[in-house]
Amino acid sequence: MRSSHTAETGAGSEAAFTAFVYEAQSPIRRALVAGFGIDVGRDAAEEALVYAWQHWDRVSGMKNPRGYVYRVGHRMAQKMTRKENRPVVLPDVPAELNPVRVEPGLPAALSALSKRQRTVVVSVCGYGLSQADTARLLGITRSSVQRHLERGLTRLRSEMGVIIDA
Amino acid sequence: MPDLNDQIRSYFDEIDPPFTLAELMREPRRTQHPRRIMTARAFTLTAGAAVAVLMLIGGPLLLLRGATDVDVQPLAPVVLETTTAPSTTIDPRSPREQGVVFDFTEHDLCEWFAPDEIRGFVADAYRAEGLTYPIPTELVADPPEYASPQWGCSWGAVGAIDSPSLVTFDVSFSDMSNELAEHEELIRSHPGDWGVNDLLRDGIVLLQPSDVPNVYVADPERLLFIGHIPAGEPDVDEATFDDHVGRWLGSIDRQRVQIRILNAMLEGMNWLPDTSTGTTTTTPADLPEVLHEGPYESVGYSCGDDPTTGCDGDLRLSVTSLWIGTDNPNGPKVDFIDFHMNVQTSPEGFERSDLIGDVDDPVHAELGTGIRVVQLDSPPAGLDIAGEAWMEVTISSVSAGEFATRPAARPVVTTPMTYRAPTHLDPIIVAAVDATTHLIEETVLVATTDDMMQWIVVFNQPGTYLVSGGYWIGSGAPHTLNLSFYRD
Repeated sequence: MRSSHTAETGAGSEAAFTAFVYEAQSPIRRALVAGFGIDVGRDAAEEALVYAWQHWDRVSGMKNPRGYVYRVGHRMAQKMTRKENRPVVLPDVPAELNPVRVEPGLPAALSALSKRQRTVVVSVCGYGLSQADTARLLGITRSSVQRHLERGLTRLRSEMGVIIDA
Repeated sequence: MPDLNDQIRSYFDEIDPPFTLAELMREPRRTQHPRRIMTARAFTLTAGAAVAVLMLIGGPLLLLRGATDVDVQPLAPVVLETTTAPSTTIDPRSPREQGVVFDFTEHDLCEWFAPDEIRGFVADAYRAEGLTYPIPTELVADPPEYASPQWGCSWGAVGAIDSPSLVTFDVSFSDMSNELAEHEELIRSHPGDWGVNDLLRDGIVLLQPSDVPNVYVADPERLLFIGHIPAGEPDVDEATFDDHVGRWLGSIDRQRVQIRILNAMLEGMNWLPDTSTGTTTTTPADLPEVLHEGPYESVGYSCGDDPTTGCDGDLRLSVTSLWIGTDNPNGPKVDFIDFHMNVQTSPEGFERSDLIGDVDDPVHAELGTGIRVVQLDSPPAGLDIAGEAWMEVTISSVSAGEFATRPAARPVVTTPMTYRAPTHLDPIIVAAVDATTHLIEETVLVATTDDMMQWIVVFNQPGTYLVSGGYWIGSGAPHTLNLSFYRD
């Protein structure tokens, strides 16, 4: 294991990493949470970002560090869940979000999607990433993003009994 | 009630708060799962040069292998500076025919591949593909925290994800049954709507012969393969493994692979590889008589003077949508082309099938990332087609002005696509299917130049075909799609 990056790096690297975290952690984290659930997704995202910090000298020079770190996190999440093969269960809508703001059936409906559908739907609709950015993040084609998005939203609306969005 | 997007956003904002920097700028957690080397089980796997490399690397390691638990040094990400020369010759014989017997376990595989070897595979893949991008120097192995006998190990070469083609792939030796299950579910639930490249891009070409559990071959042509030995199923039959995987590795034919895989998908994955027949490759010079030829201009299909009437006889065709997408609709840069069309080769009725791309589709309308440039849904009266029909798909670059100011004009090739090599064609897949039967005979790449690519889809019987594809450009000039139809 490498020695801690912190001891080797200067303020410039720290500032750059801070900027990277500010810009990239949400889409990475949210995509992993959507794909693998709240516990595994957050753990994987956190460890992937820690990994990025540990190897920031290298990661910072990549063309697509966001996609790279997502991929690291995805690997970690895969490893965490590989033997479990359990469906992703998202937590209930928190009490702070009353039913007027979020349909209580949303978590179950999201859980019913495939992992890739859920990841795309949450990345695009829940986080506002463009399809192109989502494709770059996930390392798939934009047309795949589009297909997953369409199918995911169709299924999501069906699961929730939504006919027309407000 | 807020719209769905707002609900999703609010929900995840609440359950998934951001990390603080203090949480991230720390040492990683240590593993609870030290890797161990286990007793080997016999498998036979090899083909050609790739396996030769395996043997060279693996042989000595086999000698070192012990039966007791051994903690090993975790695989750390490595930045490589050198390139292993690619192997270019593939022995068509199966491993058994070559007299090769090779034993391994997934855990040995973790050790066999040193970074240089992995990078050698990458170099092979890139050169085989004619890729001009820099070969990735970034390799990431499993984070050591997660390497374990249960989980196997894997390497990934992270390419330039911004590049329009090959972006990432895995060299993985582990049980990926979860991924397989997901792919199978998707494929089975949408049997006709998966292009091979969806799977390739998702990392794996899935092959699951009915009698070989969990065997994957990742893009055989690139000699990147995955031999999955699932935990709990240690007794994969050697001969079966050898025959199927080895044959695959030893008889690579890209077009046939794609066709077979497509057919396999349409058959619900219940498929065994068949290497008994070769692929018929058609060159432009061999094309039969041209029945109709014309560009699908920015307003659509034209095989006569009037682009809105389509062909007079022989074929019914409707381009339901052609999307040229960009994040900046007012700019000349085009990021992708998706096309969806119906082709009917029988005279009974016409069924339109809109998959995506309709401007009325609220999903895409609200995203606003696509520009629909073609919408034809009134095909001309058609005639039955007795023989084989050929559809030629050409994508060529055109001037931005043609799209912007002369939507009905025939595109003019003005901007060569210099970043594409002849075999650098992954982003597009042409799939022709109907709802119940796979009717595609073959999809053959027939020609490429710096500014044009052509595929031919052979329809081997009358039917209604949905042809869809996607073309990921990434960056570059605007493009248009040109379709021509032929018949024997």
